[in-house]
Amino acid sequence: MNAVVLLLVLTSFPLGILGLVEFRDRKHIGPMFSMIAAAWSIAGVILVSAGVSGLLFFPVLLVIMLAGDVLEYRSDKRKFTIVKGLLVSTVLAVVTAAMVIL
Amino acid sequence: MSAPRGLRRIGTVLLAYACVFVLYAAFFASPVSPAEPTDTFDFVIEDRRYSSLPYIHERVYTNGKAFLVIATVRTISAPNSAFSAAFERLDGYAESYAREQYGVEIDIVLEFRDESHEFAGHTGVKFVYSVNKNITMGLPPFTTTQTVKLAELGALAWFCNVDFESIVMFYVTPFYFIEDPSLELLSSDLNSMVEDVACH
Repeated sequence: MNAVVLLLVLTSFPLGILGLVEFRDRKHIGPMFSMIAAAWSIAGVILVSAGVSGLLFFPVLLVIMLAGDVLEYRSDKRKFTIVKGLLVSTVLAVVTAAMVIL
Repeated sequence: MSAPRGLRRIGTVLLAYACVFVLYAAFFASPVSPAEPTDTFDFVIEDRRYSSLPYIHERVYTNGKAFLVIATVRTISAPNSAFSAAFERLDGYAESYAREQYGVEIDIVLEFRDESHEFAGHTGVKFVYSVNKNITMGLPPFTTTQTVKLAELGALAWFCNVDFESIVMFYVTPFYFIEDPSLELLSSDLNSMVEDVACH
């Protein structure tokens, strides 16, 4: 694994660790989706570098993150969760559109 | 006094996303390993960093009437459809460029396009355009106008999955050899260079 692939793998760690800490503190299923998203991202980087098409990567990540934020909002009812969910979903939707629909 | 739990959580989430952002920025700013042909014949090579974010390295091979440009771009994953969308506009862009820069009226016609072109062990996109010019032959009043293929303009692109880099290549090679037969050798050299380019 070269340094650039390692760097791309590392991008999944902050949200994965955050999900792990929040899941440990709150025992709620919402943060688990951050861990799933991190695992999916790491798997995606390894699979793409091995030659698998990256087309499915961002749409699936979008679904995982959206599901996590919906469950999170149902639990905490905070505006911040909606804003965070909307921002992340918008970024992922734009990337998905650029990657898949273009 | 410690911050309320809600604020601390918001701060932690923002910090985590900031870390992700910084790591992605570091990824896109990472220098690429420029793709190159093994044999460069007598071509003059110019190297330069075209952009830092994303990191794009540009290598230009020139030799009189032929040139090859290889751009190596740091990307996550680039679909072939994105390359095709860019290459589809190449004819209009090249015609305008020739008109504005050199005052030459040329007609660029698509000859070949393949969106699943097997190249250098990858599946990429290849477009080949014919650079045509109307040439008037004979003496008045017995003149005829013929469309002559002066050169070939090619564009190739593919994603190097191992290094997370995309390679975009453009070349222009002469195709009209009647007035200068040495151009045929130049064209052959350039074509073998193009065929020889691979991910680092």
